[in-house]
Amino acid sequence: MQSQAFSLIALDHRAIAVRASAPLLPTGHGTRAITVLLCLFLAASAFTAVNASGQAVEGTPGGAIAGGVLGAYSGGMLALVGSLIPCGQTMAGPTCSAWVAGIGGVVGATAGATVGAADDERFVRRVEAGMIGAAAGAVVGYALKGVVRQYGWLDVVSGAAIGLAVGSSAKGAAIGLGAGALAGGVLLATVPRVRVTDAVAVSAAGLALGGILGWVNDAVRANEASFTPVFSVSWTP
Amino acid sequence: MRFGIAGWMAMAGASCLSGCALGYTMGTAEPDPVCPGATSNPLAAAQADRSRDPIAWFGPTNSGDRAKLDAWCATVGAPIVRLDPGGASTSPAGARTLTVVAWNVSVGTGDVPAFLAAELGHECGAGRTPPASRRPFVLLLQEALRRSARMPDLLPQPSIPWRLGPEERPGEILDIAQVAERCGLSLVYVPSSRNGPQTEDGLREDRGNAVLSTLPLAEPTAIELPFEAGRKVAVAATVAGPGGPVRVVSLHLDVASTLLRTLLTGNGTRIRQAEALADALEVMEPALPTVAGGDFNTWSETETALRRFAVRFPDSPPADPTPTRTHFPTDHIFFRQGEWGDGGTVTESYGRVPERYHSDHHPRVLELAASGPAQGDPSPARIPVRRWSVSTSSR
Repeated sequence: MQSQAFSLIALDHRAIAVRASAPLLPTGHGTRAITVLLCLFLAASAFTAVNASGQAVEGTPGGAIAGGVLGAYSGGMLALVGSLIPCGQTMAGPTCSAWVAGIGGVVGATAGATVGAADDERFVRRVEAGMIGAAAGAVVGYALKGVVRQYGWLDVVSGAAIGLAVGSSAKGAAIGLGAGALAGGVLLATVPRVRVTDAVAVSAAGLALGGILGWVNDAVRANEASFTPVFSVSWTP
Repeated sequence: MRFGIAGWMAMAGASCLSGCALGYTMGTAEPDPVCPGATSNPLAAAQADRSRDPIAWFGPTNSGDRAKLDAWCATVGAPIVRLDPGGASTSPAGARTLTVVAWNVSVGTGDVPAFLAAELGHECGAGRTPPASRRPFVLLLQEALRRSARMPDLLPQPSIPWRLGPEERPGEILDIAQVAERCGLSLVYVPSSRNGPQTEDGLREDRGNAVLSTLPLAEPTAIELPFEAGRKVAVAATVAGPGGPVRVVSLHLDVASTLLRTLLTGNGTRIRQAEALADALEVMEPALPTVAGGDFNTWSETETALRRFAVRFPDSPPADPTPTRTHFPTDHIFFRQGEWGDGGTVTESYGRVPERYHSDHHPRVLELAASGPAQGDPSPARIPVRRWSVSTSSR
């Protein structure tokens, strides 16, 4: 039995140092879903930026910064959570999630700064909702800590962190989650190739997309409320 | 301007967070009968048979992983190494096929003797299968259970997971050493963790991965995976395959890490463990044909961990989406020819066994065959080969 094939002992003193590496862009079956998600984020980002550029700033600079920070956090976290399963079907995996989270953060920052600059009340409402979301997330995390062996207090905090992101855009996230769950359920029931994992992925992506679009929608509305047309048409009935 | 700063900070932060927690460093450790390094508990060290070839250890060397792995290893018993299945049980040499089974036996609940009798025609206990009708096989088992009094008496602590199984079922529940003994199989068993502090009747248990075979095993190796939710140790050994030596590896990846790590790594738990294992196998013995099978805990057959593992095992059959646990295809087998394979060993068929034999997982079966003339006694070639035909490939 002793041959060159059994030379492990001779080889095993070579220590190796390896770091995980991944392609920068997603490849494989999940590409289409990720591409659609990225395009939606980019379109929303561009739309919000264009609107924001024409806005007369009426709030405080502090409001814009605070709004931008909350929006960046909420958008980034929502995008990260929504991307985990779809990106997890690609070769890029975590790198893909990082990109999606980054883009979500940019869109959220843009929209959040617009909201914070234009309308203090809208921003304060989002902060309050975020705190409620954080409390709910902490409760869920604490419940999971009791049944998932490896969960500890840091995971309760992580639950709160996700809750803060979802809660600060609760309406959009809820609508997105509902739409995603419905779409996932319909796909699961009608398309043989679709499985439970796909349905869960669509639901999570819906939550993320809905939450981020909720920020964008709020930014547009805040912008409209403070926008004074440069060219107005005088009309008297 | 105000949008740009926050946005780019968010992007940089997300990119950093998702990338910085995925690193690992793999290397060798001093050969030891129980644990890599000097972390063995005295009871287990006393149990270990130091006269035999020690298990070669490979695993993370970075301090973060190392500290947790050592703490977990200090709670388990010694590995079991029984390289020879026994003269009366050894499969005839020169067989043209080798059946490789990957099966999570659900902490001893899966009925291995019943599976062997029904699916592979191998009878355990008295009146064993006559050698002439025996086909060689390798079992790559996960969540194998071992009972022993030679484990330390410990209070509940973070490095001792909750006790699982075995579930009530018809027939006698055997631990992994009893299975190997009664079925006449060679065995390499390496515990990954304790199975609770102790049982209600005072016995102590550990659980882990095992390789069993009708063939003699050589070069037993334990490969610790980077720590995520618990200690996982892949078990490797070498057997005489149909086209030459074949390395076989039993592995089990974590189902999920902590919520914090899931967010920080972009759910990179299984990717990190699978890539570390593939790196270790390539460094240890890149030349040999290698079969790696087990419970990958994947939700789908397209997960990143499987895609990247398949790149390292280019001669594998296509990933099979057939569920092996509830709705999920958690279990898979991969194959690569290696530099010395030279096409001598090919995959004939691959699929899922319809029955679970009381486990919560279905077994996966990969049939390897020699592509060239048989070596040695040609008679075993006449033994009919069962086709596992859910999906087939012969690249």
